[in-house]
Amino acid sequence: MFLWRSLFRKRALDAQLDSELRFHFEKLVNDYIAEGMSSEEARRRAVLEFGGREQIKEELREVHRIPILEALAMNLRFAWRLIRKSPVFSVVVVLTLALGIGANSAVFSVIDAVLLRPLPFPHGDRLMLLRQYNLKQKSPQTFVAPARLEDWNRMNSTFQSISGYFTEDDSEISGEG
Amino acid sequence: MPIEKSELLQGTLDMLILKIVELGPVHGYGISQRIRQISKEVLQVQQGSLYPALHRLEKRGWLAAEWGESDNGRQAKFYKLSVKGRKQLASEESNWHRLAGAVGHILQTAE
Repeated sequence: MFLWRSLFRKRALDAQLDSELRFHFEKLVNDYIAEGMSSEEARRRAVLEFGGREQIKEELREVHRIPILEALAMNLRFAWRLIRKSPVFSVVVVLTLALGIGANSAVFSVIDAVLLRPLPFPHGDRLMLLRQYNLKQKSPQTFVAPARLEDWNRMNSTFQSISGYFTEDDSEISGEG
Repeated sequence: MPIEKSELLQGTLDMLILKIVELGPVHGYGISQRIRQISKEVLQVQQGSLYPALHRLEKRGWLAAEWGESDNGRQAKFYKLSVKGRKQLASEESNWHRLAGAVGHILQTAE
């Protein structure tokens, strides 16, 4: 809002600078006409005397320019004042934003996983992750021995096929052969 | 008879503007006219220095500006002296007199 206002102010300032300088310029033209010059000659002389009107305007804009850091500090102070003025409203706004952003990113993660970046297999919706549980321990054991994987495949009647992957080489058997 | 124009000393333009504006609300054109007339055509202020100075003085709060109708019915920006500006003018004037007196002394003594 502050930035918005400063943009508007810039346009208003420009209009003011313009009419202030134009007033002076036209006064000069009138002076020269009163001295007996033709209006064309008077205008030419006034332009000569006045110098670059755009250049003067640029210098005036420079006078009115607010340094960027100062403007930033003003914006922050202004925001802080508004927050302090109506704390209930501010809390509601913050909660709304938090919930909105949270829900949005949750939904997007689903869409991202399901629609935008599905697993690189055909019929991704029919893929299942199998793990084995040791009921005597509490935590699931994610490690499945290759020999067991073969057993699973042999006895399988539910899935089309079962495959495995490993993230690190956990083989305990080494040696030649 | 051609009149020899003098350059304004650095910093004196602000004081001259404040002094002219002290007489009553006046627009930029009026200020430049009065400086020329009162100085008997010796001092002539360029618009390129006058307006930046006016806006600086306004921003510092020494001048207050208001849009009003000029004698030909056009809208013009009139400047007048603020309370702060009046104080500033007083201190600049006394400073100037002291400086001018000191320079004058040296010029006389050295002759």
